[in-house]
Order: sequence, then C-alpha cells, then structure tokens
Amino acid sequence: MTNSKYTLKLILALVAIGFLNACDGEDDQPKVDPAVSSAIIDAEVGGADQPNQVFIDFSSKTQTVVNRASWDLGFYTGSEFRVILNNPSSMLTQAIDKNDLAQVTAEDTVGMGAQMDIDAIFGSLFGAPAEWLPQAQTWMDQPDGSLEGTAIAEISATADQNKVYIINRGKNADGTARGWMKARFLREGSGYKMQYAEINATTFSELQINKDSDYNFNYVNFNQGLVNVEPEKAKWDICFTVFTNLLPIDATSKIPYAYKDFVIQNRTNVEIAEVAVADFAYEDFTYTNSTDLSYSSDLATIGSNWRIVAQPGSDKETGANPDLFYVVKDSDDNYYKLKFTRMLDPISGERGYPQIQYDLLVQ
Amino acid sequence: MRSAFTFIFILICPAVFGQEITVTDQNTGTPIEGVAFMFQPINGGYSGHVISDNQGHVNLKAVDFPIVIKTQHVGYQSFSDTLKVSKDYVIKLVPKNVQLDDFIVTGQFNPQSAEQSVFTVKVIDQEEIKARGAVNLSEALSNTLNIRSSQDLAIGSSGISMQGISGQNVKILLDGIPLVNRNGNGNAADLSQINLNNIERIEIVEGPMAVNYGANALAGVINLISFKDAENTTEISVGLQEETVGSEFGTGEGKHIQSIDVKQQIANQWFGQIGVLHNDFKGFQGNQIGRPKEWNPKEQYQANALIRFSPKNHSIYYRFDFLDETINGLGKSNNNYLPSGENQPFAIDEKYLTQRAIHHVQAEGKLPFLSRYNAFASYSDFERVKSKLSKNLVTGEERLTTADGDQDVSTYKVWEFGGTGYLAFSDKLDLQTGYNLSFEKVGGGRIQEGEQEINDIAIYGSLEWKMVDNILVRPGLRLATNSTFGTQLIPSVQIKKSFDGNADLRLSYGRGYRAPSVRELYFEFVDSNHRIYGNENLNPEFSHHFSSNFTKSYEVGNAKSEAGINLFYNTIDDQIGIAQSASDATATTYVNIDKYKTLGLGVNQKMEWAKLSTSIGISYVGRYNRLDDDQQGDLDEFFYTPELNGNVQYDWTTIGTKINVFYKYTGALRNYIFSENTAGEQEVIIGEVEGYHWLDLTLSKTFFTHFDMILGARNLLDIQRINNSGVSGGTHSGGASVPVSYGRSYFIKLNYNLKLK
Repeated sequence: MTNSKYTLKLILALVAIGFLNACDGEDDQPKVDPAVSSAIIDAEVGGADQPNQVFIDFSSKTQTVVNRASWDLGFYTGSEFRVILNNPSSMLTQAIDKNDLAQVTAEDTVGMGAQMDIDAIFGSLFGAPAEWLPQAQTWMDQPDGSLEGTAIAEISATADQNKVYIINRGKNADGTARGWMKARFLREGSGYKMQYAEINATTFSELQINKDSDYNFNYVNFNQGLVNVEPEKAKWDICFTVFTNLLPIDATSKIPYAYKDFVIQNRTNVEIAEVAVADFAYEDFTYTNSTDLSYSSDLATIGSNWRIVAQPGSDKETGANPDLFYVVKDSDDNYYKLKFTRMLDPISGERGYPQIQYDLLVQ
Repeated sequence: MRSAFTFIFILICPAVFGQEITVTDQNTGTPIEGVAFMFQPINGGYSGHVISDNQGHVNLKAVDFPIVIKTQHVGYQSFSDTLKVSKDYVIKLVPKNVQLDDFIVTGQFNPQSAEQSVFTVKVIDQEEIKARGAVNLSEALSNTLNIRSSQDLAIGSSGISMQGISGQNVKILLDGIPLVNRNGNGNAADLSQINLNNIERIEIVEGPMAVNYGANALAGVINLISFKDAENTTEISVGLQEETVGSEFGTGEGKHIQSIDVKQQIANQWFGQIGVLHNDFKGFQGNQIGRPKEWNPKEQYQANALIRFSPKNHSIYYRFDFLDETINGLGKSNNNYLPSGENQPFAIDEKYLTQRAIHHVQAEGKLPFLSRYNAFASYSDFERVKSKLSKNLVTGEERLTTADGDQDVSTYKVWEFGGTGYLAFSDKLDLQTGYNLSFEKVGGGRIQEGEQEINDIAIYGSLEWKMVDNILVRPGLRLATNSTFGTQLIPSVQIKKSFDGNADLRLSYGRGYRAPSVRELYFEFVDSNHRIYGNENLNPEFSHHFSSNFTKSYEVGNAKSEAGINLFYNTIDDQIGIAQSASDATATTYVNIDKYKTLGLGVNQKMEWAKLSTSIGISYVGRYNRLDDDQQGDLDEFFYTPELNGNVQYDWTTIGTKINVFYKYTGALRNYIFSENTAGEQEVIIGEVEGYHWLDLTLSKTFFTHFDMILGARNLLDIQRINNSGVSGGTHSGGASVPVSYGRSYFIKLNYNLKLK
C-alpha cells in the first residue's frame, strides 16, 4: 500500500509537470557562417511577380534591370537572320499561310485564343486530350537557346517566302494579357525589316532593324520601336528572369510552362559548370579545382537547379539549394565561383529577392 | 422518504415486479452464479448491471421494459437480447469465454450486438484501444484491413482511405455527429487531431451510410462512441505515457502524454464527467540538420466534459469537446550577407494553431407515441490559423511574412440538428424515421469572398422487417435538399439471412454521394502559372455500393472460431476533377468528369482459446486505373493491392500480464505514370508506392489494484519511408519516397484508476 501511494504521488507529480511544461519554443542558436569578402549582389528581380530581368556582370559587379514586358522581339546580330520571342513574358507565335499582312483578318486566328496561350495550354491538360497539344512546343523558342529552334523560321532572302506570324504577346508581370499582333519579317540590306499591325488592322507599320554586333540581339517593342534590353554581349554573364521552359506532360508532349527564379547565361563566350558541395566546399574551391569541370554553354545550365520550391506534402523547404554552387567562365576567360545564398526576402519571405555571392578564382 | 417513493413507484408501475430471470448453462441446465447481467432500457431510463446469485437468479428492480440485455461471465459466451415485456425468462448460456461483443449503435434502431446488426459493423473496443496504447485515431486504426493511412509531414496530419476510396469519402462521427475539421464536416479528417482519451469504442461501417448519415460517406463511417456512464459512484483515472520518437527521447524530444479523467454520479439521475489530455510531441529530427525537423513538433490539449440527466423514460446530456493544437515548423537557416559582408542568416518558420470546440446536446428516451426517440443539436467551431514568420537568426527579430497565402485563417462552423423516431409496429416490423438539418459556414483565404455557406435539409426513413424467422430486410430512403446542388433521393437496402449453426449472410446495396466541398465550389487561386476557380454548378459525386458478407461461428476442439468472407464493389460517377473551364480556356476549374471504381475481396478468421486469441485477415482491394479510360488502349482496368493483418493476444494469467501483437502488411500501390526512357522519350510505365510491414507489441499488467501499466513497441520493423516510383516528372512531383512513420518507438503507459462505490 505504501508503494501504491508513492507511485500515485509520483504519477500525479509527473502529470502536473507535464501539463505545466507546455510552452518551450526553444530555438537553439544555429551556427552562423562568418562574414565574407566575396562580392555580394542582391538581384533586383522585383518581388513576387518577378517583373524584372536582371543581367549581372561579375567583373564590374553591376546589374542591369529591365522590365521583362518592355520588349517583344529580339533580332539576332550574327550572320544568321533569326528573330527570338520574349520568352520571359511567355510569348507564343505561329505562321499562317499568307504573306501579305493586309490580307490577314480575325478569321485567320479563329481558335487560336483557346490554344496559343500559356494558360490555355496548361488548362487543356485537364480534360480530353487536345489534338493540337503536341504542336504547342513549336510555338515557342526552344529553351536551350539554339537559333535553329526559334519559333519564327529563319528569315528568307526571298521576301515572298516569309509568312505572316500571329503573335500572342503573352502576359505582363501582373498576369494581364499583353494582347495579340500580326507581323512579318524580311531581310533589308544587312539588317531586318519588320511589318506589323494589330490583328484586325487593314494597314500596317514597318520598322527597320540594323544589326549591332556589340549585342547578341537588337530588341523591338511593338509600341515603342527599338528598345534597349540586354547589355552589350561582353558586359554580362548571367541573367535572372522568369523563363518559359518545356515541361514534359505525357508520352508525346511537352508544353510551355513559366518558371520563376530561373537563371540563364550569356550565349556568347560564357560557360558554366555545376559543382556539388559534397565534392568541394565553396570556401575551399580554388582555380586549380576549376580545370577538371565540364562546362556548358546551354542557356539553362543553372536554370532552376539552384533553387528548391516546397511542394504540398513534402518536407522540402523553399530556398536556395545549399548542395550546389557554380563555376562561371566569362568572355575574358576569368573564372568565378558562384553561390546562391538565398532566394527569399529575409523579412517579407517573398520570392523574387535572390542574393548571390561570388569570388574570382585567382589563376 | 425512500419507502414513500417505492410506494408511489409500485402504484405507477405494478408490472415491473413478478418477473424472474434465470441464467443457466445451455448444456447442463445448471444455474450459473456470478454472471454480470447488464441491461439498458430502450427508452433511455436507468441502466446498470447486476450479478446473478447462486440460484442463477437475476433480480431486476424497477426496470422499465423493453430492455436490451447482455451477459458476461468468464466461463460463458456473451449473450445479448432484447426483452420486450416483463415476464419470466430463462437465459441459456453457451459455455466458454469467447467473443465478448459490445453493444453497437451506428445506424441501429436499438443498441444491440454487432452479430444482430443487419449490416457488418467492426468494433475496436476499449480493451483493444488500451492494449494498443493508442492515443489518437490514427494509432487505433493502424492495422485495420481496408484502411490505408497517409502522413503529411509539413502540417503533421494523418489521413486515411477506406475500400480504396479517398478520405474525402470517409465520414468520422463523434456519437453520430460529424466531427468537423479543416477540410470537411466529418470527412477528409486529420486523424491525429482525434484523441481517444474519452472514447469508449470505435464502430466502423464500410459502405455508404447515406440514408442515416447523409453525404460524404461513400467509403464508410467511423463512429466514435464516448463514455456516458460509469459503473461506480466515482471513477478517477490519471494517466501518464512516455514514448520515444524513433530513437529520440528526452525533455525536448519524444512524446509526453498526461491525462486526467473524472466520472461522478452526482445525484440521483445526474452524472458528470470531465477530462483533460496533454499530448506533447516534440517532433522528429531524423535526417534533418539544424533547425528543421523531419516531423514538426505538435502539442495538443484536449478537454471534454459531460453532464447527463436521466429522468424516467428519458436521458439527456450536454457534452463539450475542445481541442487546441500548436504545430511549430522551424525553417532552415538561409545565409543573408549585408553589404559589409556580415552574415545575418534568417529562417522562415511556420506555425499552425488549431482550435476546435464542439457543443452537443442529445436526448433519447420514449414518448407516448414513439417506442424510442433520439434528438440532438450541436454546434462545432473549427479554426486554424496558419502563420509564417521570418526570423533573423542573429538578432532574433521575428516578422510575419507577406507573400500570397502565407497568412491564413480557415474556419469551419457547423450547426447540426437531427432527430430519429422508432416505432415498433409488431415483433416483425420496426420503423425508423428521422430528419437532419445542417448549416455549414466555411471561411478561408482562398475561398471566394472569404466565406461561404452550405445548408442541407434531409428526411429519412427505414424499415426493419423480419420477413420470415431468419431473414431480416431493411430498406431505407433519404430525401435531401442542399443549397448548392438541389434535391437528391438516396435509397439503400440491406438483407440479413441467418442459417442454422451460427452462420449469417449479409447483402447490402447503398447509394452514396459526396457533396462538393466548399473548396471545389468556391476556390480561387491565381498566380503566374495557375488560374484555378471553384465551380458553383458542381453536382455531387454519386456511388453505388454493393457488398456481401458471410460469417460462421463454430468450434474446433476447445477453440471457438469465426470465419468470414467479404466482397465489395463501389462505382463512383461524376467524380469531381480539375478541368479546363468551358467559358475561359485559360482557367481551370472543378468539373464532374471522372469515374472511379474499387472492388475487394476479404477473408478473416478468428480463433479463441481460454487464454489465447488470434485473428487473421486478408484483403485484396482493386483500384480503378483512370488512364484505361482516357488515353491508352490496352492497360489494365484495375490495380490490386493486398493487405494482410493478424492479431494475437495471450493472457498470461500466472504473471497477470496480457501480451498483444498487432501486425499488418500493406501491399504496394501501383499506378501508371509517364517516365522518360533511356532514349529520352516519354513512355507509360507502372510505378508503385512500395508495400510495408507494420508490427506492434504490447504488454499490459495491473498491479497494486489501482495501477495499470502498458509497455509497448510500435513499428518494431522500423519503417520510416517507403519508396515511391509512381511519380511522373514535372514541377509538382512530391518526391521519391512517402513518409510512413518516424521509425521504431517504445512507450510506457502508467494509469492510476480509483473506483469508489
């Protein structure tokens, strides 16, 4: 019986302690990485809607910020005659079988509104399989950046062979539609001539675009004509942007799908290699280590690999991927190690506030 | 004073005296002493139990017939019956102690044993809940056949599917009233939020119980029955449970549970109960490093109180239930360099605060024009506050984050009113009619206009008709009208045929429906890649359910056996899925487009000896493969998943210890997925969520009269995650493994029970 009373008192005491020992929001102070002498850039992507493309130049430690809806088309300045679409705005286009802009009417675009639109393409996944879906990937420029993969065919020297393109200008950062246009591209001397108008217009405008080889592309906005977007090609290395990529959805189809927090690289003379932290610590990585890596000139080498986005039900947490860093070789053969330190704003927690840390690898 | 009462009583109820009940051995005819004879008047009056004397006589004083009775004796099989009138009875008991079936109530006209029910009811009784050391419903169901559970690590919730149908179609009731949670009124529940500290037993009915319980029970109903009485004047129970979480244990680790429960007969006709529980799960670090944990810590307080008044012919009670839950998800540390190069890392932490309060008034008894009635009113108020905070890990400063959807308050308020009346026309025909009113108000960040209401009014009726002596037929019909989708007529019919030699065949057909959820009706989510809207014009999902069940009890040597075989088939039409909006191609919405089917076959076998009881069950559940219909030509229509369970209980009387083993094998869940082959092409392959074995072992012992102790090991095979190859590529894949548990854990539970006569 004494035992029994003792046990009872013990239970009661433990129960009381248990109930009272409720709140303990203990938060062990984590180990804090020390201050660094690396270059630090807070890329001004512009927050949740990610309105900006941010071109970063490592050697001058500068960023060039451009609204991603400020342009429509880029005209290649190299030897080929190629036109790219505004991928960050999810612009899509297809040719129609006419080569006179004035002859194009709304009838030529029947049905396109429900197909050639990034949201409509995504929406069509939920329902009877759409026959046109396999074509959707041809309405955008191939995401690897190859000139052969542009949605607009190479501009022919024979004017009659250049067809009219119906263009969905995609979306603004706030999600509103940028509208539709029709356009036709011709060679003009060593440059380009663009004919363009709104879909229902019976007349059209013309714009002359010369090739300025200091840049990868010369840019045009349908409303403003020639505009400045990308810095000179020797003056940037990587670019933060919203990026319309190809997402595989079934055995035959990939669809255009917009990725946020995407990083592309300069197509001219910039090459990038990915390094696993498991192989090298960022701090210990030196120039000597950089020679064995395999470098890629795919626009999307970094792509979305640098970040993790939480999925419902998983225990992954949104943020920079701590397991990777990169080595960037720029157009002057400088080697930089590059690490993404964060993806979110440290106070608001919103996406669109990435920060990078990089160091020149001394040769 | 007492004699005056007695005198008046005699005047009013002369018929209650004069009857004598004798309990005898079926084989020898000798009277049996010491039989616990429990009785419960159908009209809800005084219930209790008496012990038979050395003549085998049971003396029932002042009991109002008809009554439901049940006997218990260590040497005899339990027997229960309804005694309709007061007269002499001789009750013959079958020797040997097997199958102590409790009364069940789910869907029944009167409380009765599961054997007598026209449909199959599984019971997890108090003894089993205790033997498992089960604190919440998820643990209690861990080896039940045809139930498959799933865990969400981020918000710490635990869901289930039943008969291969998702948890949205499993309705969880507390004393017959839907238990509200974040996602539904009874359905899609988070089982980890349902603690069992005041639950006497769990009744499980597979198949839609739509006539009685309305929508959202296509797969079945799980009815939790609370304690509403005590055998003694005062019963106090104090419990302490300490549990490891995997191999983690300590003041800041492991699981610590305390509970206190007091039951008191307050005065003549008055009974009260009050209980509190504190369940403090400290989370599981697992493979995570630093602040984040694999399983987030979760702390729950639960309180309940009941007061019951039982005047003659009636019983009325008020019950209050309260849950408070806090989940703290600490985020990982992210470096953040200031222009000076100084590092001020930050983390994004998530907090989920849930509160649920349920008020419930229920009355039952007898009225001049009804053999029995039951009426209730309840109000449930559920609120979950989700907050996200950014924390500077150097300064400690915390602020609410501002991204879309970071801060959210979900609310679910439900008023329910219902009543049922029972009329016994004759020995052969009973009628049940009832009504149910339900008003739901649901609020949350992604619901159009922040809050929406759904109202539902229903009337229903069913008959239990004893066509011939051994055939019972129960047709039922429910007429419901709903503010969002109009009027529905729901039929069901159940048949039970008894054969000589303790064998029963049950056949059941039921129509079921799932009402579109508020989310499906009024959702609104727009970002750069998604434009998803609810659809106010949705119709319910409708199902047909067919099942049959055959059970036979027999003896093998000195062992009591029971064998059963079950078949079921469910077909669901108009299943709600996401589809492109017809009016706006750039948006997606919820539409009644899909169909789904499940079918299953199960067998089970129980064997009971004096000290050892065992059961084993096998089931084979087929789930419909949607691709079969949609896209590809020659794919299998069903994927089958085996399940196997076994329980062993040994009563080691010489050391006063019971040993329990609970086992379940949950088979692989397969589906077709798209995958990229080595040539870089997409192809259809079969993916699967791996199967796994689950094993629990417990020892229970009573000592010093007042103390119970349970020692146990959960998940002895140390299953943590199972591989999932059934995930197609893309941005929304959940990952290559599915969490099952944090691994093998051990617990000790100590209970102090004080009983005062």
